[in-house]
Amino acid sequence: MMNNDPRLNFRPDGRTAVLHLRFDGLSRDIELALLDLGVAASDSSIRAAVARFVDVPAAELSGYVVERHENGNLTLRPEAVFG
Amino acid sequence: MSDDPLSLIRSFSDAEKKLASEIFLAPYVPGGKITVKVKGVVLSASVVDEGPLADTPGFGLFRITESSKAEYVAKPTFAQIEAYLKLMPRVSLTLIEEFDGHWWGVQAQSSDTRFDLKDPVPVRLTERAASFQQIFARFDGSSFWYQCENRRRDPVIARKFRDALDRDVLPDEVRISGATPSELFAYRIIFFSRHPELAPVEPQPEPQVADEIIETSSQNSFSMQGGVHRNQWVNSDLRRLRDALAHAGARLDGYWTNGSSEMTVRYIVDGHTHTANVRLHDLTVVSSGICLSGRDQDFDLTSLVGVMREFHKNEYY
Repeated sequence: MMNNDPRLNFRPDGRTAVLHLRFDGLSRDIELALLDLGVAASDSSIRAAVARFVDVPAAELSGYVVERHENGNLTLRPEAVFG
Repeated sequence: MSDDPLSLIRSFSDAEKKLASEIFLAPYVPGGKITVKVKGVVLSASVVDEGPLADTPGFGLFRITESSKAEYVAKPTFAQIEAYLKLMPRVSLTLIEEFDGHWWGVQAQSSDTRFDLKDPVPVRLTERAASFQQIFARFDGSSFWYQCENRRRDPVIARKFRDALDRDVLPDEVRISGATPSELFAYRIIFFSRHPELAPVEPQPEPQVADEIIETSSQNSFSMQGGVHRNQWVNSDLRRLRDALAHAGARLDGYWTNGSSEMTVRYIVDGHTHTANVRLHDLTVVSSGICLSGRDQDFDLTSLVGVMREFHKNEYY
């Protein structure tokens, strides 16, 4: 699927879906359309695509958590250690 | 007291000298001046040594060091602050939002004839403020100083207003049982500042050639015309917080700053209310409100939303 697929940008409010990345103490918002991902992309595909986009080795994001929000956005964040 | 002018001046001078040997309490905002009343005359003094109040506004005990100059001496006790505030008339206010470094409020009870506040007023030294919260403030003749929350007012009403704002309910369609005119007024101000395009258009008077410059004060920036807030309320902090939380489907419930580089944010995730401290400039979490093994700063406000969902899902509490 190419990044101009309209399904990629679907959000209930009509806005462009965004992936929020929290990595290495920095925050970044990336339009999903720029990541060349399909709507059914797996977590590992998302991590790999983001790693390519921000130009870091894929292994650095391997432990990161992918969250899919009801509004169509995604968040990629470090794993939380409770306690 | 004598009517002799020289005697009055002498008496005043003696009182001013006596003040130099005393410690007095005053509220202080960094960069501002403190004021003290001597024989009915208000004296103002610059603070040369601000102590811990250099970065954070608050109450302090001060001493006059030389003419029109004072230094911070110590932190007053809560009882001392209460006693100081009780010297001034009390007014009930409904808070609107933070703007230009201050929370602003509208008079909550128009039946209080001591005050006739037609426009919102800035409230100084607020603590854990939130929109639509009813508070008590004390008026010293020029400024309103926060005293405490009005605990007799049901906080659920304020929350319902915030919820209506979040759902962009039009002011005329807000139906909240027990709501007061001041809360509805505050709602109109916030709503139309966020949606200026929806503000009713008032017929404009014929333009007139002005020969004079009309000065406006900061308070006038809130002036209402026909119940509509005319100046767009540019509140970048509010927008950043709302957007950061909305990304992950959470909702802002309130936030407050204390003049430092952090702010406290209260937000709602799937019906659960949480509070976190975040850095102002990038919303990095300083304190998440739960134990994250000291790794709070791994997250920002947006990514913290998912962490809190995981926290509740796995019942880590």
